[in-house]
Amino acid sequence: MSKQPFIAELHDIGKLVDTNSADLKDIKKGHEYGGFDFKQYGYVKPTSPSWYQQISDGKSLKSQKIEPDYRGDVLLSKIADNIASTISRTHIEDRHKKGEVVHRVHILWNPQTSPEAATDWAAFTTRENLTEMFHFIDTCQSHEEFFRRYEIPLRRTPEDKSRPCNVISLYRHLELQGKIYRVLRNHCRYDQENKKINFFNREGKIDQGDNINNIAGGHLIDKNEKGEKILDYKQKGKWVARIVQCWVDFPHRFSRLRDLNILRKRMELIEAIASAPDTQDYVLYHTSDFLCLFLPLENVCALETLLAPLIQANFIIRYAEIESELMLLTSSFDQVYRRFHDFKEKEKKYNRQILVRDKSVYQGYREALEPPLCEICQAATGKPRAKDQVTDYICDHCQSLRDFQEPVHQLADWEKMPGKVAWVKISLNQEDLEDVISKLYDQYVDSIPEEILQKEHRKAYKENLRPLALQMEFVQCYYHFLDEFESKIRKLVHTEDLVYPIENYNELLILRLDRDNDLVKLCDLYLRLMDTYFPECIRNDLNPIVFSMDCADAKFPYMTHWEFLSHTDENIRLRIPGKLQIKTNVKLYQELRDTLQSLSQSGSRFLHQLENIAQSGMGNSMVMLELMNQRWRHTEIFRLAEHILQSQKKKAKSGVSVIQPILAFYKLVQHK
Amino acid sequence: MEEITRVFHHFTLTCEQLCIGERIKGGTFRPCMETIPSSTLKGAFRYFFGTDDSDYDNVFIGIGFFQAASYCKDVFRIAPFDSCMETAKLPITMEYLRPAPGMTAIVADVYMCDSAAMQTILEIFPTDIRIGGLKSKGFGDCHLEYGGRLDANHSKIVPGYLRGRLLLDERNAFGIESVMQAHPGYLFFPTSLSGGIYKPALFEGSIIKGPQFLVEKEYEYDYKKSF
Repeated sequence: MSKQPFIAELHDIGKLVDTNSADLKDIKKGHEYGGFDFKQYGYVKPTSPSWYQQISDGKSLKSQKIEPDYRGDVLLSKIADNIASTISRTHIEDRHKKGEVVHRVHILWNPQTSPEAATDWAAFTTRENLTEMFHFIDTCQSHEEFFRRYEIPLRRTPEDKSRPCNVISLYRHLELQGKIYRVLRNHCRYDQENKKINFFNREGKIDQGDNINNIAGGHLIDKNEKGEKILDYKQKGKWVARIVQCWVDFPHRFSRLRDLNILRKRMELIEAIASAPDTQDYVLYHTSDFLCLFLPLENVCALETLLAPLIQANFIIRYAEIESELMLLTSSFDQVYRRFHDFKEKEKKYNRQILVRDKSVYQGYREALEPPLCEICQAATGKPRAKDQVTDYICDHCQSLRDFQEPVHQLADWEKMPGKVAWVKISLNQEDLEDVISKLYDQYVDSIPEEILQKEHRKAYKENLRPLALQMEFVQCYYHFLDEFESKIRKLVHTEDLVYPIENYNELLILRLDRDNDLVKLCDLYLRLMDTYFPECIRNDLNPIVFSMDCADAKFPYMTHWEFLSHTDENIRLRIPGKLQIKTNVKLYQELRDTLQSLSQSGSRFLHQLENIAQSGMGNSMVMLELMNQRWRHTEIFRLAEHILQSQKKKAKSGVSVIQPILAFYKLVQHK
Repeated sequence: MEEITRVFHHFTLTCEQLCIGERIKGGTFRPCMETIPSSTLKGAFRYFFGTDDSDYDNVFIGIGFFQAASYCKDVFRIAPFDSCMETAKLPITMEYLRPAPGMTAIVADVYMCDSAAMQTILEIFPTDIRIGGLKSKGFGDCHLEYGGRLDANHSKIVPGYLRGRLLLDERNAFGIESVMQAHPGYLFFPTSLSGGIYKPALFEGSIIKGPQFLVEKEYEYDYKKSF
């Protein structure tokens, strides 16, 4: 038997074959080669264990076609494949015939980047290429080698080529599948003699299973004699695991620029966990302040152990986790949780498992602290440290962060120069991201003509979207967007007027502005790039990316800057402290900009009249009444106010002034 | 949901400008909190009403929450005078709360746990007290009106996210049955007339099972280990 490694990611290599090409259309259909007649076509069958994944009855350990040593691996690979699939394969009650086949990935937030009629997606199009493929299966040493060699066709080929499942690339699906397989492999034991896989069940005891259903579970729904939907007990899985979403926060309050080093520390610690050989597979994806993990039960693999470096560095990790049978795992916790609890349970015994929890983990309380408290973290006793005629009280840990480096030495020079300093932060709201992806997918499903996808099947697809791979893909695009933003802004602003305070952290930048209304130029740059990278997010007002700018004197307290920048309640947030504050979505911002940049003098006078009415305490209703009275003279302002009111109603806000954002923005564009 | 048998007293606090400051940062900036922690109310009530009770640390236990639409933040710069050197010290920027545009005063809801000391002072409301810092500059003059005992709805025990800050030791007094997830911090606890220590506290966002008035938003998921 070959001593080649078992590479789970190779199970879908057949999807890179263009079976419709002139050379291959007569010899092969589909992407699995388990039943392929090698002798007839003069090929040599691979002997690598990865080959067994092509055999379709690998869902049970009793398969006679797979060598006993590898039956466990093949079964685990199939389980991981199911968990990683973007559309749940457990869901369909009446599985309809698959939709139209398309050879391109429909990127939900940017459909234009997918070529219309992709002809260059395939890696293997000729009979000679097939030889190359079989040879590669036999010689490939690692999944990294597979990804490196076939990256381009993997990114161009969808995981599932039928609409509306063609929303994620094969690359991303296999990346996710491979990680899940390796985590499962590390936390089970294959009992070859008894043909069982041993693992820890929901009670934390060792249990056994021998096929995909009894190990991982299956459908949620069945029908009783009366035709009512109930939870299907026959499909109950024994192996329970978790997807955990972790937000890494800190209690630190910045008082000096060196305190920004906490951002670097956080980023480096997260990166270390995500890249270390013994922990990287648990990390499905991560950003500078967030991790998404696939973990066994807490008593098998404790979150505190995995994230120990972060906890010891005084970070607070707030996390949400779903704990369920393997096949029911998804990152859309709320949706599946509510659906699960919506089932009308007729039986008394109720033992399918989906649990969702909000928790946190941190270093723990000390008994009591002697004053003075550390000014930065407020979680330890501070020691006096004198600097610039001022004595700070800082604990040892916070002082070590300060000692690391001086991130923004240019600020001292900017204090002597005219103009203001703008702190700019771009953030990705992970909670909004899942919601945005679901809504964009719903729109995609609805856009497919009825002759391809019937109405009665649309709901099933929407309900069974698993957005995890899509979230990974979006985060990748987000980082490309940040790189492009940095590249563009470096051309827009003089080098000596711009600084990214933390190396490799391009979500935060600080720049010197000569005029306040330069903020509008920065915002326009952001919007242009958003239109390039995420046009559907802009078009549909579904945007998880937040752009915040806070512009003040160079000596303005950094903590106040950071407090403003760290909120993510609206997509565009601009502030000049003491003068104006605008928080709005992209569409409304564009409308404000287009209308107010060219407002007439009479329009300006009318705006100030409205502000006086608002300030007198008469409320929005009087402002709207005056707007109604003058709507024919000042149509553009009336329209703006209407849209602001609609937006506030949508966000369930009330009592906030309608005229305030209009006036604030007018002051901004008029400010010199 | 259970009803609790503990008694709470509800007060409405109004003020024109208020500064409940955190520690000064870098010697130049003092941020302001947006809730009234239990340590602040304890200190203010003891100072203004006094008590004969030997357990004076535990007679005035309460917590306060500003009504969101009633306030906004602003900054105030002062340069303390060093009378020894006869010169001003480095100016300090202090954040404070003032009424939101269109409002005449900041409004807060204050909830005090019942005790013998509380019973003796209920008769004197409405009254004025001073809370927070910068009192010599006119900040912190508050008017307190008694709103009565808390009704059953506000006292129901629910799981949810804590709205304010209270000492960990005070959770029983507030009727908090369990802390499912702590958002940790420390609050000042006086141990003498001139000094004290910082004790562990629960900050905003902690997930508790406690009276509804303490909870900003109910927690909708599981918190037990299993079904």
